[in-house]
Amino acid sequence: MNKTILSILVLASFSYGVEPSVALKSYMLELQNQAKILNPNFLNFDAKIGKDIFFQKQIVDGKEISCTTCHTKNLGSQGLNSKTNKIIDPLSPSVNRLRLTDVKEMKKWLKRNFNDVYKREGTAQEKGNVLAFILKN
Amino acid sequence: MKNLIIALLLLCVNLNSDEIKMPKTTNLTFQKECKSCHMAFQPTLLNSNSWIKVMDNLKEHFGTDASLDQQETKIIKDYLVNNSKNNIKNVTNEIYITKLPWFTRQHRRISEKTIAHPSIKTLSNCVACHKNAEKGNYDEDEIKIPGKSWSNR
Repeated sequence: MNKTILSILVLASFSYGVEPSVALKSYMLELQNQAKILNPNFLNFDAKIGKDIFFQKQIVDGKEISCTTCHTKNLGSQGLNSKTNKIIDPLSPSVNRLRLTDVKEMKKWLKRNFNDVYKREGTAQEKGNVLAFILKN
Repeated sequence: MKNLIIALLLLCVNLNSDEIKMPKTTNLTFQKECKSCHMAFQPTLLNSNSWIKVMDNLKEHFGTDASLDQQETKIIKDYLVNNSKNNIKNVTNEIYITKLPWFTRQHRRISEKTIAHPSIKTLSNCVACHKNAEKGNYDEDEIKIPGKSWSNR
């Protein structure tokens, strides 16, 4: 009986996903405003485009790299830093409640990791798309 | 005879395993920021010029972008420099701890094949074999190399 209730609750939490934190909402708004300035036709962030950005492979120093190289293709799993072999806590906010709750952390890691993979800072639209993707997964 | 005994005693002392203990890392900003990707390397592992070089180039930190804001960079840089070890032999101000003369000497018998073990992967992954490295304890007695027994390194 308890197992049944637990499974229902777990399934329910997956179908509802995770509510964006106050920090994430404010950061997405900031990115939205920046995106509109750069592109007046911009409407909403797109998690599908965010997924493409996250999965796309680039060649850096002769090696293939994408966000999934360290974070893996399943955001609910632990990742592994490909250079240092250190474990990275899951990126999925439904598995790791600390994710997407601190604006400073989000800004820091988006800046760094866009540089690592794309050799440039991501645009506001790209960052928003990636965050939309992470939130859903 | 007396000299022989003294010589033998000295030899015994040198044959004892190396006890390498370093001061614990204390600065919280340093711990929080640097531990996100690797072990918080003790400041005594490098000399101050090398630490300055590292902290002045965080955007290209051993092949990755590790940039921080100005305040955090200063806090960590000051902590590292103030606790660095300046009698390390390092005339080129080498920033790779793993390329320092004392390090290569200590790890000279570790083969590439051993390092390639999935739990290790790189010599900079101290905790893979030195389980208490984060506490500053690198005692030879406590080394456990994944995939190897003591007699077969």
